[in-house]
Amino acid sequence: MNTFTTVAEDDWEHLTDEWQSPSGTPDVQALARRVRRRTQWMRVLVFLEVVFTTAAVIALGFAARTANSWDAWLVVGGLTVFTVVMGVFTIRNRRGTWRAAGNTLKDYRALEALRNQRVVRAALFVQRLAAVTIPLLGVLAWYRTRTSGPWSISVLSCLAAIVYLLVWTAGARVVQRRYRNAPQSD
Amino acid sequence: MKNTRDAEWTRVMAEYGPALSRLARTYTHTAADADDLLQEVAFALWKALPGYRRECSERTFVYRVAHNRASTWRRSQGRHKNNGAIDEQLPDPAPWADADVIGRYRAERLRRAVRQLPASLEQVVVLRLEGLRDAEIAEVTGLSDANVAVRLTRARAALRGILGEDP
Repeated sequence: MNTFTTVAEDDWEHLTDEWQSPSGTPDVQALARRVRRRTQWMRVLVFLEVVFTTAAVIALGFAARTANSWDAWLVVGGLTVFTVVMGVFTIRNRRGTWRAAGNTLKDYRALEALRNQRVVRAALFVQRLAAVTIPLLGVLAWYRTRTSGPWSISVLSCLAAIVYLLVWTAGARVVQRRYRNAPQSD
Repeated sequence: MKNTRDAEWTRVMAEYGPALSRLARTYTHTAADADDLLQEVAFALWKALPGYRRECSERTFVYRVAHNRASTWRRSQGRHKNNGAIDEQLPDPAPWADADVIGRYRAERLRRAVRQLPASLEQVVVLRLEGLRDAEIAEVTGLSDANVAVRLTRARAALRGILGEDP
């Protein structure tokens, strides 16, 4: 026997009363929790980026010391420029996104909007970078194929970089779609 | 200008906050997700308020924004209905429980029943339970008045089945 709600023709009013019983109101704590979760995720991301960048710099330094051909210098130079460009952009893009200016709902809301905006900006940057870089890499790969053969280090590196950029671009498009409608800074 | 918008947003959130909180809870499976969705709805309202031209009631406007945001959120999360399973156990009110505990139990039980409805019925039921009239529901959802009435009738029958089946 059901001792609680049953639905009859005139029950909407009764159900409405049940439905609207107190369930708490949104407050600054809810948004603060969300912001903290996102901050933790950003820290993990930065840690991984620092680890990979450090590994890349060490590898590039080692490669630069032993580079003895145009092919090798081309790869080292290209990767160095890429690492510097991405590093500078990332640092500038994350500026101001680490903590709310205060502890009010408005402050947390502004921080979330700023973070969403920067995520979209990063996704766009990756796509634009790929749009510029992929044709250059294609031309370079074609040129080096003619001058040093199809299996040289530079040709294979260019092809690998093109694949990497295509995958990265696809990921950036997914992120952009996800955040496109999220609230963003004016 | 921006201060006016903030003041308006704060007033709207204070007035509709509990309703939006219930809506977020209905559309999500965990308390954390409900928090996230609620904040997204709050953001969406903040952005949408300057565009409110008073062509409809404020209540209709707020619910329209909220339901659009909630629908988008649900699609983006790729969530499927799961018969109301959530991250917390529904507390069983003891025989000596006071009216408040029983009230919360009933509210939670009703919320889970609503979540078991098909999406097409769930939306109109949530709006009806928030106290909107058929015409307002039609305005929020873009359905005709007749369609809203039909859906509410079906939803009532479905709710009767769900709530009647529980021990």
